[in-house]
Amino acid sequence: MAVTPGTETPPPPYLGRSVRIVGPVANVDMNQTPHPRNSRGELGKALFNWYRNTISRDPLTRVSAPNHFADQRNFLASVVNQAPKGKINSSQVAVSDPAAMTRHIKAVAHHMGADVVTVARAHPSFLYAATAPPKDSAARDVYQNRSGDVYQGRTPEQMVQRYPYIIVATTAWDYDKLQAHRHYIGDAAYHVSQMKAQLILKALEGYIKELGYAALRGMSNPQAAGLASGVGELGRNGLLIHRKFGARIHMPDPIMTDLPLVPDRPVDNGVEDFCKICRKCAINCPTNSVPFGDKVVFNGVEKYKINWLTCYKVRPYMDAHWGSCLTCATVCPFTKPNVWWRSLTVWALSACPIPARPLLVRALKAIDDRFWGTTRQSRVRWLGYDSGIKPGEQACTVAGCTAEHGTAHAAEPVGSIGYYAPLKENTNRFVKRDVYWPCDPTGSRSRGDGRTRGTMIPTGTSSSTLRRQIGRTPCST
Amino acid sequence: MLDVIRKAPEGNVFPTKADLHTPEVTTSHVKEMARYLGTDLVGITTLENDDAGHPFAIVCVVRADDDPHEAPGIGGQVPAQNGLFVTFVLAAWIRELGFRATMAMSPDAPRLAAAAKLGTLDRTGKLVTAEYGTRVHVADVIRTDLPLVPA
Repeated sequence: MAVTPGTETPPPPYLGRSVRIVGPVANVDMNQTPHPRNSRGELGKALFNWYRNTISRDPLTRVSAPNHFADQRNFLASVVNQAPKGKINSSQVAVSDPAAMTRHIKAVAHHMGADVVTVARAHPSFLYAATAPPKDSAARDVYQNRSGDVYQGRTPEQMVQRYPYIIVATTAWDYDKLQAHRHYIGDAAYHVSQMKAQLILKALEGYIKELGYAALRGMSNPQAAGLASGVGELGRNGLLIHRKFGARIHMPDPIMTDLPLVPDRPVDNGVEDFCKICRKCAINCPTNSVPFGDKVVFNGVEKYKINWLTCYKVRPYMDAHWGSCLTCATVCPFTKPNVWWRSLTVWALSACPIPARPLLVRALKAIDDRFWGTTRQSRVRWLGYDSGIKPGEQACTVAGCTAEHGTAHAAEPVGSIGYYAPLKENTNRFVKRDVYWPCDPTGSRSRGDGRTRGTMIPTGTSSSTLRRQIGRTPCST
Repeated sequence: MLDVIRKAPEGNVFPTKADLHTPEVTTSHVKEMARYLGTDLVGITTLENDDAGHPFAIVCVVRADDDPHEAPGIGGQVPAQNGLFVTFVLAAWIRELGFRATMAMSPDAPRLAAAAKLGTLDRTGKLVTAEYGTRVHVADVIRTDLPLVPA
């Protein structure tokens, strides 16, 4: 209970076992996050040109990805973003039962197509600092709303008192297409559901305003609100990991509102225990951006922290292959189809007493490595796309086609392994992986740990083991 | 918001035409894309005398618990919204493939849907489908010159 309204910071919220607020948290300035910095040219020419001046080679990416369109008018999200904000209905609907209203809002969002809808109690540390959007319209990212004039001179504490709830509504991306990570097929899964989530949130925002309540965008850090409302736990890969969808969910800009609701609680999916042991994302990350080590305290928050700069910097160079890498989400053992055996497994993990979990996690990790491999390199065929074809080569992707295609379509991909650009050993030369060996660093390395450490691969490893460890198909040389 | 999407100026057609397979294969790709974007039924029919001279129409039909023409609230908005999402992105995709495509509301949409063999028309001119009965919403019709095979 604040003595003077709006001056006292409420105690730090419980965010589940994966993230802990341990110190003072400075409100993040959205203009200092990666995309806005890049669009101002602060990350170098290559990244700037990739972000602002490139047109994708892929027609679907030109339709669905921000910043790589040929014509912005063909990109739905930019059209949706231009929709006027709309006024709050002056006749407010009285809410006598917040629980019923919460059920109603969730039902509406699910009906619109949201896969996950949760409500968080807002906390000042979740909010972005008050920053104006850039004047330069080309530098605006359609998915990043800025708090701008929403604050109206209030402090984050006062904002939280006035608008105490955050609605997190989001979509999951398609499991089958995601299997072609680092490929345009995976991009399609990511970008199309991202557009859909934006449409849903915009419609939900309008709906709340029609009920006569405020719906503020660009205010809250989505991951913080997602943790507080139990969307999932924060994994080693820096992504929220959901009970049903694993890491394949978007975290778009949530809605902050004064509509009376009942907030959800953080969840325990067993992610915390799994991430301590698994490290699959760290092993597979093509840029060594995911940490092997323990959690760190950053801005007063104890969590696993990825190296966003190395993750970001590779993008302009892989432009011809993919738009979004998605490898850490794809290899995550929690990212599985939403079927009974995954529900059973996650239930078993979260019902297991915490001290016994490491044992169960090791067993599950072994099963995952055995059946899904230490890395994912499936070959996915969708529409005219085939992740088995090397970029730059063309092949007819129609089964049983006997048409004359000429030499342009000469390549004949075979097998069930997709083409993955041999990125890892290049990266190992430039981005040093932080060394962390959970067990004996000298010997007794069990199969399937996927240990690669630049040139530190043990001698005598067979080429097939090596290939599995490095996570790529052999290149022609 | 739906009006904003519907009235948004159309983007340019990409200057280079994509390397397409036969019309049969293109048709299957267009249908698969439409289903991926969230339509429940999709069909293709020919247009006889289109103003812009487009030979084909792509008709997407989404399930609708409430008819957008009768239910003004959220019940009617959701099918319209889902339909617009599909048709906007699909039309934009065809333009990026290098072919013309226009999305527009049209009064004869149910007739075109019936011509695309998605169902039949009842006495009031409403589409009746085998899968969902009359609880469907015919989304905006896409008129295109992409080489397709009508149903």
